[in-house]
Amino acid sequence: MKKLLRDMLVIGWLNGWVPLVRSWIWLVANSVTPLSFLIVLAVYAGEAGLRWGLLGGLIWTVASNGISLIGDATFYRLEIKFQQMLVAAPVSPIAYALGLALSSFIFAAPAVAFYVGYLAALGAFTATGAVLLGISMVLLWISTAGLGFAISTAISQMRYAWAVPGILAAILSAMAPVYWPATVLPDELLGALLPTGAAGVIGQAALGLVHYGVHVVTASWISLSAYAAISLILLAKVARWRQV
Amino acid sequence: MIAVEGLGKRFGQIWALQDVTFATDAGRVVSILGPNGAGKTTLVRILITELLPTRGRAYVAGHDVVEEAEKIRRKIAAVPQEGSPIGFLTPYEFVYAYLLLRGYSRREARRRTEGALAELQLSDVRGREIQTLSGGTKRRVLLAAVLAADVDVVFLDEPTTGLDVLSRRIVWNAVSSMRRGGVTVLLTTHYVEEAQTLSDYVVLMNRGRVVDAGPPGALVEKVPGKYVVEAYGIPADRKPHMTIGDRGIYFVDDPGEIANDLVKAGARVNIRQRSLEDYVLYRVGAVSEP
Repeated sequence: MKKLLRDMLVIGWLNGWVPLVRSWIWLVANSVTPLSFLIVLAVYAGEAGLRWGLLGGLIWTVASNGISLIGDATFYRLEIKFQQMLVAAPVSPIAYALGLALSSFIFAAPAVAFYVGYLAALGAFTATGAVLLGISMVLLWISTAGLGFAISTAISQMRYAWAVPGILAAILSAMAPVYWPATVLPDELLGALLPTGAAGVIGQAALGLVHYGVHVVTASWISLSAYAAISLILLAKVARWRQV
Repeated sequence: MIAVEGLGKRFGQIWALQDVTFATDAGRVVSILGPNGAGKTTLVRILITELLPTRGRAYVAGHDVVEEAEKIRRKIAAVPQEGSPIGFLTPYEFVYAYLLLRGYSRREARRRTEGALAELQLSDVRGREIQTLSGGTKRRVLLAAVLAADVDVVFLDEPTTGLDVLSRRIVWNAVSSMRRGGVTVLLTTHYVEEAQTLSDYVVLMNRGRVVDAGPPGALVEKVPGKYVVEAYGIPADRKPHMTIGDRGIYFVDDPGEIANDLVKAGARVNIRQRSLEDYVLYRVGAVSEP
């Protein structure tokens, strides 16, 4: 267990921290879209729009960085064969996958800190709301990172690894109630179908942006927890060094 | 240290490896030599426990590659074919991180990293981002990582492909250094000269099968003639032992007579002592894409 945690931290450092401090342009690139939405919403809807933009940006950032594991994991496997070096070393595939997931979280940390800090400055949080939002973001990170790693194992050509995350991040953030309320859906429960939507419902409720029924929030917690659990199981299943 | 018995690997309907058998002792350099598609990389992937064999057995450092993969992984290191270190790291960071992942303490990892970078002549670039370095230097960074790992068996899959002459020799020095340290090195290569220079044992493969195996000197002895005469523009009455396009190759003990005849017939002639390359040509034919 100690070795697993250490390996996770080393991979998190080399794939998250180092590029964060050395290639900050990627951080800017990753932040451009949610920041653009933030500006547009703030201009059109004032402080209320700002809160929607900050919450949406937070969810977008966590989800897109988790999904971006598709690119990193595929690059290490197909392009530079770093994964093969680790196969021939005492590194567990679970530690490798979780380390990559951790690196995506580290890489997202500055943007997450910005959104959370700004929301706090606006007085958007209650203590309970902050805790609930924090837990939902961790579950969302596990869900998207696990999904990202699992998808990466099925990709056989590098060019798809750069294209797929952009498409998935857009679908997960635009097709789910992240920037908009689930109340516009025929049934609010549909908002919990995607992990980003479930996190959106929980976040909107926690920040007091929308008042959902208890059953909708509960369904969102169940959905998000199930996504996180399934992603971890999936990750453990596909994170194998050996090929047949 | 490495023992392979009747190893086979099938992808769909195609056998990439068939009945591969050889063995080598500890502290030896083994070269797997053969053209593209010979099965070299498939063999390496099985031996480093990345790929399951379809049939046969293989043992690395005394452990079964199928049953005891975890034990093997603690004792081996590999540089993959066309592998490259992570571009945004520095050579120091890459080697250091690799050693941490292998379980070394931070202090020991730092010490080993310094030593390996010095040995691979990378100290001057230790703090530069890898993506700014040449292809040869990048390859040396990978070598530094496995050199510093101090394992029992190292797998190098075409470690010198595309390198300039200086970088190749630095890699060769690293291989020799590992051998002196008692490490068994399994090396795949297209370069016959490299196999002859570095190896204690050569396994010649073609189309997934072992064509022959033995010490380089013993294989060279199997060339049917002490000299090789290569002629461009072969006369009809002098049939060579083998032809590659308009180039004829003659294996002879006394090259004088045939060389004279060929020159008189208008051929351009080159005479040399036999080498491992000639044995490869003799057994495998022209080294070419399948």
